[in-house]
Amino acid sequence: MLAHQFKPLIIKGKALLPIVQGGMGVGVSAHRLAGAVASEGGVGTIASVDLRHHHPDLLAQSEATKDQATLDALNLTALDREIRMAKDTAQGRGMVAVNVMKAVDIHAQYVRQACESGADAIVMGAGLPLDLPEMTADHPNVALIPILSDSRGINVVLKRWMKKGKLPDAIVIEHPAHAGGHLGAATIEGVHDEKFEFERVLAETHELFAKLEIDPIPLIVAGGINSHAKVAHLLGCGANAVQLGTAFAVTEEGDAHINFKHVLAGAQKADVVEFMSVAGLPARAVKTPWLAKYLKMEAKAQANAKADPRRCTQSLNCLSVCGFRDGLAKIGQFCIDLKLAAAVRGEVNQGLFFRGSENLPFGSAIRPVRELMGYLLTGHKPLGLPA
Amino acid sequence: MENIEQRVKKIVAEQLGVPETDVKNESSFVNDLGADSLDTVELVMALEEEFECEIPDEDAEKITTVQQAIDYVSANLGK
Repeated sequence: MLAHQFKPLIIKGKALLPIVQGGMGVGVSAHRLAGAVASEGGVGTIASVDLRHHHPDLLAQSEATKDQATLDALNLTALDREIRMAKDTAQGRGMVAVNVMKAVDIHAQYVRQACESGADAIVMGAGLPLDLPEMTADHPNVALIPILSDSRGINVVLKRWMKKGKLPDAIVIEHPAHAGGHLGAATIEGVHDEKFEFERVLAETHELFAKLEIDPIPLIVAGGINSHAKVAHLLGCGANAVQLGTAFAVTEEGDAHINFKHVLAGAQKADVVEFMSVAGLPARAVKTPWLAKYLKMEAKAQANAKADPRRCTQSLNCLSVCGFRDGLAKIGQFCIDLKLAAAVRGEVNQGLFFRGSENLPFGSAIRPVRELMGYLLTGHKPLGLPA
Repeated sequence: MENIEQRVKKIVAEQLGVPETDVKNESSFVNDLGADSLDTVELVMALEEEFECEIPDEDAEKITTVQQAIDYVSANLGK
């Protein structure tokens, strides 16, 4: 394991590096990335949603059908393969987690499959994971990790779970002003609210543990972390680990196409924008050609919002509530699955490229996972990169 | 002593930060009173406290209007 000065992150009694690679869908964090992070001793996270895109045989079978149950079954097969391959890479080191968005229609099936395929942890956000304990009742060894953004949300989840005699094994605290992809605020304007500041959420959450008379739960902060100095600062303010997404997406082991990595790594802060996703949450992405075009005609598309199941052209119905299919005029009006799948294939003009707001630790360079984790833990940048 | 309907409406107004006069029986928490998912869970927890009852998650998800909250509490009070 990489040598460092910090306390380990301890989940289910296992000592881990205090570095977590966040789940990124569609297919941006699959077995290769999650396996590489876990094999270094950290937490690698596979994003469960629509992993067919990494399996040509499953994609070929998808083309022949518009039956949602068949497509769902193919995705569960893909998730099973990805978890097993990641675990095979990790060889018992670190932890292989699976991220399941609550907003995804078949989230309960993904959770069950992840547990059966040997995932070490389930990470759930994009909605309140109130029923995660029930979904995983048959798999007590799987760690449960909700993603929340403020102490109010943490309070609600802790109190509801305590009634069921369960507590999270760790909690990810995602900062909506800095993270990439879907953000834990109700509106775009709301992402900068000071209630999301890490120092405040960490302090309030520790007060909450005392009030509820429970032992402290490991807290993992996520969003905007891009230097060893920030890691040291946050671990000194009561966080037990840090989570990064974009910086891992652009590593050599990242599962997306090289074009995807160049789009993320090459983007400047001014290129990154917030907008409303079809999932009803604000989201952050690079303003690539498709997104620029969409944002220009967003108001028109919202004015034409109409509930029509045929708008789900793939019949995948990936989200429980989809602004495009369900005609919700206040939120996004596009097929997010098609756009994210185009991005992971490296289609720069057609894809939607989720990204965090900050500059990356290694600038636009694409380097191995080990070097990134080493830098975050020790501050030593690999030779050849600007200090 | 206030009846169940009045007590429910008072809690809804307090939890969602809206005037009690805006809280009608047919009001939807999300569509009419501006609640988000966190607000609705906190509301359910406040109802549990006020009426000393347990509202399981699967039942809580079905309570989306003031009338549904009144009906649920009326049917389950003292159980």
